[in-house]
Amino acid sequence: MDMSEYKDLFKEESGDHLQQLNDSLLGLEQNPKELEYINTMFRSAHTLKGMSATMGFSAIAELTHEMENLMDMVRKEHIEVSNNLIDLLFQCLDTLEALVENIDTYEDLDITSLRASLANMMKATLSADSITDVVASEITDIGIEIAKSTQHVEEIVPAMDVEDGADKSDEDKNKDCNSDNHRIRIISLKVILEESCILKSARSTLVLININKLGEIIECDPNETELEDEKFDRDFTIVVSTSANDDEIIESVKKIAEIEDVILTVLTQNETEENTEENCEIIKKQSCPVPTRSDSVKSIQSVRVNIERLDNLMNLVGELIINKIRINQLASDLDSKNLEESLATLDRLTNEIQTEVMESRMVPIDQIFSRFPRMVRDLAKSEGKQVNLIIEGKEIEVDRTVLDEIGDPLVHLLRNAVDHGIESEKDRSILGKPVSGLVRLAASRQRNSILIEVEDDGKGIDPQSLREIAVKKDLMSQEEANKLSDSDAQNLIFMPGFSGAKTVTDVSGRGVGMDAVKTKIEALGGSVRINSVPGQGSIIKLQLPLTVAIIQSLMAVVSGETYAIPLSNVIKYVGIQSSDIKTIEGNEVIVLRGEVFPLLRLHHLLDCTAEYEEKEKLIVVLVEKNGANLGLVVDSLIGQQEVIIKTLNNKILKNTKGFAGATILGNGRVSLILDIATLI
Amino acid sequence: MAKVMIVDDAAFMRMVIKDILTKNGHDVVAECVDGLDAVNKYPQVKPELVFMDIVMPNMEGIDALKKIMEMDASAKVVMCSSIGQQSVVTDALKTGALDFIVKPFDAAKVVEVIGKVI
Repeated sequence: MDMSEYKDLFKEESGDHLQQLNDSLLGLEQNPKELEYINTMFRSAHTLKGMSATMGFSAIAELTHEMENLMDMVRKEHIEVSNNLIDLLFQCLDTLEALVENIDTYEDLDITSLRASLANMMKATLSADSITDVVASEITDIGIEIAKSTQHVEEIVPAMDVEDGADKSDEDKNKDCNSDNHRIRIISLKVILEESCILKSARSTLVLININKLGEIIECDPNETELEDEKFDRDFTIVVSTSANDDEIIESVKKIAEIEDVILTVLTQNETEENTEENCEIIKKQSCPVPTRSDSVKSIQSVRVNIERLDNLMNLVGELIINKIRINQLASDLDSKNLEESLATLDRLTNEIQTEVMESRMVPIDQIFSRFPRMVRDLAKSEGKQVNLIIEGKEIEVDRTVLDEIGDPLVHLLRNAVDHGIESEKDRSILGKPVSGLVRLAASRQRNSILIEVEDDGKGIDPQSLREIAVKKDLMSQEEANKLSDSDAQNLIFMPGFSGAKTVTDVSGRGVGMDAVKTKIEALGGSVRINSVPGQGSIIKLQLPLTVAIIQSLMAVVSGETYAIPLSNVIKYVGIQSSDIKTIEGNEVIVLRGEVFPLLRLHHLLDCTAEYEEKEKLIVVLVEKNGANLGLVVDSLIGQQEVIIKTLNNKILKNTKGFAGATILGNGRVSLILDIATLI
Repeated sequence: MAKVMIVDDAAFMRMVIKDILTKNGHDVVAECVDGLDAVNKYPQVKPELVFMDIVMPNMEGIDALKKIMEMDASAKVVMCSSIGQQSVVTDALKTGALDFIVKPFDAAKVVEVIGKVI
């Protein structure tokens, strides 16, 4: 079978199971007595085993098989939940994750050492528990269950014989057209299984069950216990006392799958002629119900949709809205009441579609939150700290595109919180804080945005030390630094070039790659704020838009063309006199409330100089990106507007600097969206 | 051709079995995500054959099998097992399952089993 078409589904579902395993293992670590965790893990590992075996990924299948055995011993309480056990299982999960990641390349990792550790763990406990009867080979293969189940089965089978023997022979006589003619005979059946048969013991059970319906089993070779334990090669022999005829018996065995052959030998023959009515069997077979088409409907609650599809849908909705605005404009000239009414309906419908499409792109934020407990645990453990991670609002939904982008920044912030925020156990007890540090990750939905907070009760950020570093790194003069308020000083860590230095980490306890976080969040149209009280902890708030497909923009006109400036970059807009412009080293600047803004005349930048004329009054849009300020000179402003971003991803325009994309205006004209980061 | 109900918590496994079945002319009338789902759907769907996974959340295959056999003593259930589940499969067969298939599924074996039990 070609399995490649199932690979994506396999990967996706394996990911879910690995997550489940990780979550449960974390839970188990917290509550080692709670066996439900191990049951959940057992199920996930088991499912993974089946899936990977089907795909032919033997390493995954083998590893999960061993894990399953170990977990089975844990849930049967042959093994205690120890730190070693948890760590070993975490190692297994990491290896599994790598294996699943690698399935595209078919590179199997070496899992021998891990398997050896698993085997050791099981063996060690066994000898300690003095379960001497169980041979090691059985442990790795089937687990301890055998030892228990055999006894159980022996009790059941004879019981079945007694109960059924009397009743059945009557019943069977009625069923088997003319079995009155038969006398009880003793026969021997040699059953040979197909070579490819996997669960031989279960197969043999099925044979025994079927034979039991026709007669009484007197003896088995190997005996039933051995059959159950799979202590036979491919064949076994059953001695039965039965009134059924040869064909019936052979047929009843042969109708079981994976049976290669049945050889029947009569041990005690009676004189009655063995003329059977084979038709009986045939009639029985035909009497199975005629398949009727069912009117039941397959219930499918959800479908998996490729994200590209949703993007396309979003685009189409955008087009629809643009066209709706155009029609609205045209209709306003016509002054037709009927048209206006139907347009109002169209308005409502398009709005509803837009909402629906946007909702369908939403996924629970838990999809990325869920990997953090493990990450924080590992990090805390490696640092020898105790950290309690509290996650809130994991059910909050965000746009898939936003979700993809915020994973890294959040990893960064959480790392910082554990690494640099939370103090060591010793320091915390000296400070009188609880030994276990607290990190809180919370998401909540605001009116038109998502708020994510990363909070810790660690050492916080000392504004004074940040001021000193800024001066030391020549980012500002001593006076400038002194002028900064405490909260402004804390914001210094977002400045490019400020963070990333080891000294910062050590002194302030914060600041690794914070500018990267800010850049990423702003690229999404969001913002980052920090609030920290030295000695008490920090809270970092990320404000994110619900979607990135639609942004709020300030519409500005330059030489008759309309441009969109993302509102997230805009500080404010001001009117200035051309005489206010000063020149520093040949560059035009304006000074507003002591702050210097380099001026950029969009006419020059956009090459519209031909129509450009020097005016006395100028309109300047003050924008900010990555801590750098800039004033953009424009002709006039239209106002704020929601625009739908169309990416410039064709060959010619792809590498155009200064534009984030384009949008279509209500009048049908195309307007470019300025990208402040590359414009500067 | 038979009306088949597939019970497996893994969408992946359901898809694999379903493809084998549909390619061989059978009609998958329902897919269930766990034993509980199967017990609920069985009386509505009335499939001719059920493929039942063993290890599932909410209700395990063996328990679902018992419940279904209580509802309909003539139910035809085939267990989907993995290597290492001899004892559970044995129990299932004693409870009334007609046969079993072993993961990884071999299409020919699955078809053979259907042919034998229907």
